[in-house]
Amino acid sequence: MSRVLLIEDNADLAAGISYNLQKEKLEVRVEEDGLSGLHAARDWRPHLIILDLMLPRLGGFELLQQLRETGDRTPVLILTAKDQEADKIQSFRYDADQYVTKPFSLKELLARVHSLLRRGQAQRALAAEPFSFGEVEVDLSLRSVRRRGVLVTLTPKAFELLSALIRRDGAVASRVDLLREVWGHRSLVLTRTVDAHVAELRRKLECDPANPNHIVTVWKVGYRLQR
Amino acid sequence: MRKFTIKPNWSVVLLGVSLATLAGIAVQAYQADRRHRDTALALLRDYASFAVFNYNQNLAGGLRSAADAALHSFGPVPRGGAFDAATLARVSSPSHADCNCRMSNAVGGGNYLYSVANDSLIAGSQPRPSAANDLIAAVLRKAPRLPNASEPVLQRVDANRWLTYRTISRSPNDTILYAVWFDQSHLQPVFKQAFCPEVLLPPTLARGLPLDSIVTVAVYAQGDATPLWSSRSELEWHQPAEDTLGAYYAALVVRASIRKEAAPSLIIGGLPRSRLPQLFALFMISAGLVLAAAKQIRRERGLVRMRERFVTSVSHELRTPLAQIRLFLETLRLGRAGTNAEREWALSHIERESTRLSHLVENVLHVSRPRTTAPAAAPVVELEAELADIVAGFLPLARSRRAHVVNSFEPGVLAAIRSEHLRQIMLNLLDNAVKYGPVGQTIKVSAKTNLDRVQISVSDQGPGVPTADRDRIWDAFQRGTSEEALATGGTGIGLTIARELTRQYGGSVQLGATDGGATFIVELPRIRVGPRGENHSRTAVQAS
Repeated sequence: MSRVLLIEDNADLAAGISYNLQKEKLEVRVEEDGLSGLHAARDWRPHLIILDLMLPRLGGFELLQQLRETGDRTPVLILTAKDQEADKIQSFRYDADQYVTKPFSLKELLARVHSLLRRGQAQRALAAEPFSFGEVEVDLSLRSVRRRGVLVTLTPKAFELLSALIRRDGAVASRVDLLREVWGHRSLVLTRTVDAHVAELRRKLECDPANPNHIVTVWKVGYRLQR
Repeated sequence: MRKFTIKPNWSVVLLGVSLATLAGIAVQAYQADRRHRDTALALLRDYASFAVFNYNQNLAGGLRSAADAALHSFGPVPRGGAFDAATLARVSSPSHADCNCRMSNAVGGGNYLYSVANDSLIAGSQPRPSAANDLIAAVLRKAPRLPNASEPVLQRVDANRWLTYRTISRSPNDTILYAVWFDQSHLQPVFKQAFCPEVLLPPTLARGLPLDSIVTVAVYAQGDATPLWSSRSELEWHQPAEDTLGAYYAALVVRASIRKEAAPSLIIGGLPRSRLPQLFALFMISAGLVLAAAKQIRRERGLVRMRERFVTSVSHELRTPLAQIRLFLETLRLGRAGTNAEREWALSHIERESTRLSHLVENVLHVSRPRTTAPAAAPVVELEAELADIVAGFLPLARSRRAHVVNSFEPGVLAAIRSEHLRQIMLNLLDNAVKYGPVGQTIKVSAKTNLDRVQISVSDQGPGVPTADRDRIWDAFQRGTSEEALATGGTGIGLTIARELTRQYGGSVQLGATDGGATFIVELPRIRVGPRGENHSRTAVQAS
């Protein structure tokens, strides 16, 4: 059963949405303030978060930012009365997946919820399968990397970077995309940081780090992972 | 996350530039004015210098004539200074009867011959030795030996006595000084005579005015602050000029200045007055106008921001109940509410949110309507029943945050107010209490009398109103600045409406003091009913 975390300070609305989600055979947990919502997102590990923006104790944007900065990629559907363009842009900057304004159509909301859950399920399935290239085997669910059967220790960011490349399944990832995905939107981090972590991955995973066969540079664009 | 950006406001920039330009022009005008004034003052100083120069010429001539006349008592000076016995006797005579000069007749004065080589008096008017002789010898010993021997020298002896002498070489090794001493009063006519109107300032400059009214002249001994003579008794120096007579005339100092009153007559267009006060006033007025304009622009921007905030808030406040109404309606329409209890639950939400929506619309309409004066006739209502009814209607809204409402109404309390207004006041206060208090709190509502007033209070268990916000919460479209207040929805008009409505009935609403939470107290004039039921204080209500 998929878990949906609903962070909404209006108890009645939360009750109504929760009632309808439960009717869809979903497990729902309601939190009425941002801080409790953030803790629930970390501890309960939901498959989808439905998030209001105006929340007591911790605002929706701050919650989303903190979530993404810690590498949490849980799909997030923003459900808010704020319909300003700036709010929508801000939400997508923090990698929100959907933005729905109040009042909303129940059918549409449920359709969006199911869509996000399906996509998340596909990604989880991908993560569950061990991925291998050259002499390296990566288990995303266990966060383990082995080379010739020997466990390789990677820094958390290097592992996130490797995961991001694996998720693209051979497609090219630009430095900016990798930055946003792995480091979030912190202005102090430069694209050079990506290069430094790629160098770490090559040093630890490639046979000849100077002439990499798997973590390949795409000239003036970024990197891709080839098996 | 809120981002602050600086938007250039061209109106303010232009105002700033105009103010800076104005300041520049004011400074330039001030400088030009000052230069003009300096030129005029320099001209006055030039006139004074001219007068000093001319006076000095006159005075030097007068002093020379007077000294010559005084020294004339010696008669012709013998070649080589070989004074014969007769001359010496005449010199030694205290009476000087044969001398017709002015100075040698001075009281206490006398004639002296002094030998530089011997450093002693050869002859003198006083019997020797005498204090006067010693004094004269001491003065002559120190007297300057000036190059022009034919020129008489004027020398000050003490505060009241002066000495004039001439030198003559008696032998290669000796010089004779023959001197006459006299009282200071004998110099006064000379000083006065030198003050010749026609000469000091030519008529073209004086423009026909009496010299006395134009120029002031005074003569000072070197180092003295009190003048030996002055053309006026009261001295007032305005742009004065000063010069010193030569060493032959005891380095007398002559000072002159053009009188302030005469300055406008001497200078074309008069002495320019300082325009600084006018310039300063002009600058201040302009700066005030610029500041007023800047303030107006700021106020307008504030109003625009306030309007935007209000529209955003109202939009948010409208959307929230609408979202619920639509959600529960769709739940019902799609047949997702399976049981009667579930359907009833959904309907109760719709009903409650409709109430909330109508209350919000009522508030917005109240704000958009023009301000009204006191109602013509306010019906007397019994507060216990009215308030109980209002609270009962509000309970579903309170339940949305699991709030409990406890009533405490004094029976038989009357007030003159329209029911719908009392409802609007109370709903705003109750709505605030629910919004800003914690979930599951207890809200206390009470009504009691206090002398000729009726007090209705609403207390919550929230964090209370911060001191900084206690005044601004009453202003329209303003909301609390605390994090809790900002995170809570609201339009910022509820308390404004409550205050306006209570004032219409001669009442007030204020924030009471509590240990925790916020207590709002509505005060209305109390209506007393007499034994036969007549209303005794109705007129007071209408008057207010």
